[in-house]
Amino acid sequence: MSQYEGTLKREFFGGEIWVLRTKAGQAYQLQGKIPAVLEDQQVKVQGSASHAAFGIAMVGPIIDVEQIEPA
Amino acid sequence: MRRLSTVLILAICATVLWSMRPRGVRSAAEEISPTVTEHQEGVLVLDLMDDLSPNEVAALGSALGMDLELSTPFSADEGLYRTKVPDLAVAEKAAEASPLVESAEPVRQFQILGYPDDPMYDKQWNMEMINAPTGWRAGGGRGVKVAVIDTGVSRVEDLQGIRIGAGATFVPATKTPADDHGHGTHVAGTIAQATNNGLGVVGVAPKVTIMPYKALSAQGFGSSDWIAAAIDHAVDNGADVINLSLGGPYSEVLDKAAREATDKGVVVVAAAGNSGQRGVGSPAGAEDVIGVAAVGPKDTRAPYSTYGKGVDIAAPGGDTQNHGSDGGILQDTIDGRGGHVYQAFQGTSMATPHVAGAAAVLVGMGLDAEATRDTLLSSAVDKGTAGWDEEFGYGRLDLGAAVTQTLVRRNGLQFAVGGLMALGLAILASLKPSRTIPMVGTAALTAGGLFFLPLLPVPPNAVMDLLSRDLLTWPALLNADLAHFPLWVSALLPVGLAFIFGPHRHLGPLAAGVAVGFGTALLYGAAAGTVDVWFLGLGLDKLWLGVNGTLCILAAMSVVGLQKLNHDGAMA
Repeated sequence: MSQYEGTLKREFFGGEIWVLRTKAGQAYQLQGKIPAVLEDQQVKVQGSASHAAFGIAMVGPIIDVEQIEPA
Repeated sequence: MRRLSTVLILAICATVLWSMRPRGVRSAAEEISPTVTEHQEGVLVLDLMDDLSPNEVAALGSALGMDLELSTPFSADEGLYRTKVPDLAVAEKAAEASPLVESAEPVRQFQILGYPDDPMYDKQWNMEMINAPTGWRAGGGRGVKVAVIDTGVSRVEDLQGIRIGAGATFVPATKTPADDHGHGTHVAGTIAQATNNGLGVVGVAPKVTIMPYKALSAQGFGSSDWIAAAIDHAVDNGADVINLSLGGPYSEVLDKAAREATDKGVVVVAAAGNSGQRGVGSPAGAEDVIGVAAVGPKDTRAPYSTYGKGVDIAAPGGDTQNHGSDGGILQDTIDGRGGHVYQAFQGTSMATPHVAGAAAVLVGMGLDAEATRDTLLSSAVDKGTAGWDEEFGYGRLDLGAAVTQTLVRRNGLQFAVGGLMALGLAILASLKPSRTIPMVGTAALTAGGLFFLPLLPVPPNAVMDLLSRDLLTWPALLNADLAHFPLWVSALLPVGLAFIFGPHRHLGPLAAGVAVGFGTALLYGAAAGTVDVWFLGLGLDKLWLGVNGTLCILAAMSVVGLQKLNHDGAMA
């Protein structure tokens, strides 16, 4: 389990996806239940790299989200 | 003999003309509208000076008596406007007389003779960008199998009528390769959407057979072993092209599966990624896999497109972030409620099927995987820095140029060489013109076909597709693999014809022509490496083609000798 921090963005690549963009410029695709109210906010995410690491969005590593909260 | 030749020529001309007829009256309006025109009557496009303000444009419109509107939502920077005018010639002259107008010309109608009639075709800027119509006229991928490894494929309304073959699912807890996300169906549509069916949108290669593979879940995720298993299955089941609109981090399992596919003569096309940063992962980064970056509607790099080593070519992927849905790639897909919806997506996922469809067109023309890859890359429109660069690879896909290059460099050359070789043989043997002309004509047509037909602005059809091909690639119309069957790509047919018809006064020269033409095509295949032969590798296929091509020429020489001895000689 790791912790990530950044801005939560709703993006569209072959459908809607949730992306965490860090200050360092890294993007993570988030998988799991994401509260829409946190869109565009700074958030802290706890999660781990997904076993299903390949996908259609291809924005960055895929994270299985355990917990997400405002930073 | 002269009568026979005349009848033959007339028959070919009649067939060509018949094949070019306008088809399918779709509406009363279309029935009475003028159809035989490449230029749309009454619509003029004006290229204005680039720095004009909206007020200056409006004032110019008033002065010219024209209602100027932007050609597309993206044309303001280029100053491209269009207007309806009562008399094109007069309006063109008046517009060009203005110092604010750089040029004016009638709008080139992308639709030809009402083809295609898909009502949303005018929103598919992507198809015009890659010159898709030339691909439709060059067979549209007839006889080619394209595996779509994705979230599955569902036969939505606009996919009715296209060939969807057997597939498989590799996602646990799913039983069929039906789409439960929407991405895979959208991708399949860009490759093979039913075209000229009066519905929705078009595809790049509508004559292919789609092999649907589900290797990504309903959420659009998958693991490397699911995808690798799907690639193996597709190769084992005869896929000619594999589309992978997916990606992730480096994976040896996935890259190995992709490499094995390319080693077995399959064209593998994969998305470069949407990170907007440097670093292409798997499978696009694997050797010999065609990695695809994306351009937006203005033909510039899409901001999300991943760049770096592994990018081989760019294709339209859309840019909805900056241009809204008009800037996306429009296709029919599932709506998640049991119905379907036309949706504009963006991503290198959308760019990839343009390249896969283009590859299918070239494979359908008889090119092997390596020649297909080389042709796509060498015919691409160079973008960015000259030659290969990180953002566009070798450039942006241009299917029209790829088809033209194949037709001219392969079929055109074979046509000329076949004809000249037959002429040389006839001159050496001092054959009479009544035997020389049919032999030369048959040789040229067998070697290259009426290769220029797909370049004419006419609607595509099967007859034109057949006549525009060299005889060697005729079996590809049924199945692309048949064009590489050893007994077909051999001297068997020409030698057989020479043996049976060689002594005949009228049919002998035709048999000799077939032998010279077929031999020319085989020798070209050996020299250019454009024909893989089943079961033969390591250069043995070139040896096979070379030996059989030579046998064809020897058979033709024997027939010419017989003709001289039996007919011309006796009469001399």
